[in-house]
Amino acid sequence: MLAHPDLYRGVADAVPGGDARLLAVRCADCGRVAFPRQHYGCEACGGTRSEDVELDARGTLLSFATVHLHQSKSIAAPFVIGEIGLDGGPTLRITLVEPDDRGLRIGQRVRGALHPAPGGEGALELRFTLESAR
Amino acid sequence: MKPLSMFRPAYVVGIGLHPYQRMSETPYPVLGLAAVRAALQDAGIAWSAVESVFHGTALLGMASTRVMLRHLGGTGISMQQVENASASGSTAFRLAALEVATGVSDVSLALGVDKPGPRIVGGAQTGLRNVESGRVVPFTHFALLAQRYLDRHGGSPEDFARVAVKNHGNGAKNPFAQRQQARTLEEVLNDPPISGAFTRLQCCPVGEGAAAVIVASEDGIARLGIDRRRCVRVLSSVQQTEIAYAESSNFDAELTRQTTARALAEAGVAPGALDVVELHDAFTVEEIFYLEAMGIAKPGDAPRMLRAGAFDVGGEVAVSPSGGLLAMGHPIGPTGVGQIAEIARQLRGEAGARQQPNARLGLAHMVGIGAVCVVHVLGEPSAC
Repeated sequence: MLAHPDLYRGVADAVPGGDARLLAVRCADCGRVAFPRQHYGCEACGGTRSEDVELDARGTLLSFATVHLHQSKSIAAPFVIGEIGLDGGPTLRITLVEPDDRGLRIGQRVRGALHPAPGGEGALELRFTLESAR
Repeated sequence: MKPLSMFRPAYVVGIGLHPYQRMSETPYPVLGLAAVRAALQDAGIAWSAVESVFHGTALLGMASTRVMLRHLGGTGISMQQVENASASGSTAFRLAALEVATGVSDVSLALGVDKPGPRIVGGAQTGLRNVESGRVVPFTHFALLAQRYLDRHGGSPEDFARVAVKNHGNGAKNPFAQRQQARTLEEVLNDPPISGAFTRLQCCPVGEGAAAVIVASEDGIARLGIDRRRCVRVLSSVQQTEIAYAESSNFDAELTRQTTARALAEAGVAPGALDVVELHDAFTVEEIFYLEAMGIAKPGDAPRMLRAGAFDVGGEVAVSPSGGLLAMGHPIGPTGVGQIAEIARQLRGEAGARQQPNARLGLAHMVGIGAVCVVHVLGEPSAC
């Protein structure tokens, strides 16, 4: 079971440590790729013709932040958020596997995989980690 | 699109505030009525002279305006509730200024009243889900941008902490501020960590409060006998929204750059001519981003200018003399109106211990999630 089946899918079976692909949309008029996928029209050109595409969970670390507290009691801190420039175009902010930001540098290569979601009762969520850590 | 200057002049003629404070049991009409009555007294006019109301509020819920303002005596005037996220109050002021400038009313009230409450935000309603399961809230959005700033320009988290030191120092001189305690650099840096480079004192408090500003035309000023020497002219009003910027750009700063450039051009004011700036410093690093985006500092140079005292009261340009969102507070609806009140106070020369000497030109800036930006430029009474 995936935490967000509308945002990504497991490659082959959705298993812990398994690869995932992000569900995105490409504008047929201007070519802009957007994630998350919405079919209301293109944010750049307003075009309404689009095609669903899938993006590899690979990219470059654009920024990171260790979060020490969260207002929601259901979200345990600390955790590390990374800003990822996906090779397929869009930028996303997502939880990193790394427990702290030691060893993180902007520009490092990162890759996503499925991990058990905290408190998710067996659900798998997509997290990114340094390629060098794999 | 026509600039405000193509219409007749509009002036801020009265300001009033209820102090910003932690959430309390105080009913919101107590907050709002205190601000409106103070603004009426400041202008020296009666409630019956006000012809329209624009009420910025994000969290009070629908139909919250008349049930508050009826206690001033029902006059049947137009009342409009305005929601534009953090910029709700700024948009309310813009609408009041436009209403007066275009001749619909001679006297209009811009009001902001809010108390913390449940939030329903549009993005989620469109079906958007967060791939990080809600772990990224605004302070982490700006913490990520702060890390990128350090990577690009060098420097250290102390550069951001100094914004909090300056603004808490200003807030300590503002009786309407939620935080009225000066803080040292050590206190800011040693405060509990929140996200990335930010400690608690580098994040604005979101409480409750109210701010009111009365806008009038020259006809209204003459008819009501308002003191012209205390009238501050609205020189420009610009509101823009984000476009599809290049991936990984600093959207908030880019939107600020474009909106401010238009507002300054329409007012005929150069960035370096500003004496007072109130901006959206919900998190310390934002002050640095926006001063650079506005052209007040060169890219990467705002931390050096801050260290040199350029943005202090008494410096080149007083930035957030009210204490800003960081110290005066960010009750959402009131914030943008309160910025206008502070700038009017400064341009009148009535800001007391936090008065910027010889303040002639001021700029107010807010951004709101969604994502909007509102910028106003105001001029001293002799510009009237």
